[in-house]
Amino acid sequence: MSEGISRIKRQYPPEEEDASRLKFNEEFKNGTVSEFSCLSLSEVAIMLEQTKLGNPENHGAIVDKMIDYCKTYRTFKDKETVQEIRRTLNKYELHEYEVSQLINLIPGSVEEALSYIPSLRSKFSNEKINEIIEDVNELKKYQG
Amino acid sequence: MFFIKKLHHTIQLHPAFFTQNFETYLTEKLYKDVEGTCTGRFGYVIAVLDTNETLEISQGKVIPSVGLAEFEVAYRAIVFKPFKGEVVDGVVSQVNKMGFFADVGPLQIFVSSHLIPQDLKFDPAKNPPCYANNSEDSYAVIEKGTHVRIKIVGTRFDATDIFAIGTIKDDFCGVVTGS
Repeated sequence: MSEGISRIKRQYPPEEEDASRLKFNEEFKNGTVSEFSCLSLSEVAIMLEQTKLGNPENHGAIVDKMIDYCKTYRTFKDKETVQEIRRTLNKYELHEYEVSQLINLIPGSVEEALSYIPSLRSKFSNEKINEIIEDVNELKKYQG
Repeated sequence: MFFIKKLHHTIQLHPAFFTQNFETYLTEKLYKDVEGTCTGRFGYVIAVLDTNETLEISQGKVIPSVGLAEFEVAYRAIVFKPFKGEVVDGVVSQVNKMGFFADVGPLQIFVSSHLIPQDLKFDPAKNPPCYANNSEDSYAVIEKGTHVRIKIVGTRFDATDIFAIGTIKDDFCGVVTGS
C-alpha cells in the first residue's frame, strides 16, 4: 500500500505576522525599497482619484469607504510632494513598510517614530532617526 | 497597509461575446468580480490598476460540452491588509461598555475597554455614549465620529473577511487632536 496522500493544509496566516518586526507573510515579502509595492495613504488617494474617475457608479460599498478614508487621512495632497518625499527617504536604508508608515503618520519626535515603527530602533541611531523625521516634517510644512 | 499585488483570476466568457472587443468585456467582468472583495490571503482588493490595454489575458480555452471560453487573467491591484503591530488612523463608529469599534475604511477594528487607558471611563448616561475623562479638562472624549490612532494587536482572517483588534494604550495612540 502506498503511503497516504496528505492534503497540504494552508493556515491563515501561515506564519506569525508582525509589522513591528517587519515580518510579513509570503504574499508581501519583498525587502527592497525600489520595488515600491507598498503604498502610503496619500499615494493610494492619488491613484484612486485617477482610476476611479472612469466608472464611479460601479463602486461597491467597500471601494467607496476606502475612497472616503483615503481622502480624510491623506497626509500629502499632491503628486509632486509625494514623489519628492519618496526620493528623500530613498537615501536611507528603509524597508518599504517603514517608508509608507512615515508618510502616513508623520511622527513629530524620535519617541513617536519609535512607538509607531519599532523596527527603526535596531536599524538607526537616534540622530539618524531625527534626521529622517525632520526631512518628512520639512516636506509636510512645505506643502502647507 | 496598502500594497500593489499581482493577482490572477479566471473568467468564463459566453460565446455571445466572442466579438472583436471581447477584451473590454473581460476587463469589465474583472472589475465587477474582484474589486471590493476580501480574502484572508491578500486582504481587501480596492482597485484594479490595469486597463483594457495593459491587462494580461491568456489564450482562451473553450470548455468542452459547455461552450464557454475560459481565460486566465493576471492583473495588478491595490490591496489593503492590516498587520499586527501596525498603527492606523480611524473613525469611531460604535461605543459600548465592552469597548469601541473604529472604522479604517472597510475594516472594523475593535478596541476593548481593557486596552483603553484607565482614565477614560465609559459614560452610558451621556448621549451619545462615550468614553470620557472625568476630570475638568475633558478634552479627550471618545464617541461616534472621533478620530483615533490605533495600534493593531491582532488580526484574524476568515476566507472572506478580516477582523482586527487594537489598543490605544500605547504612547502616541488615542484621540487625534487638530484637523
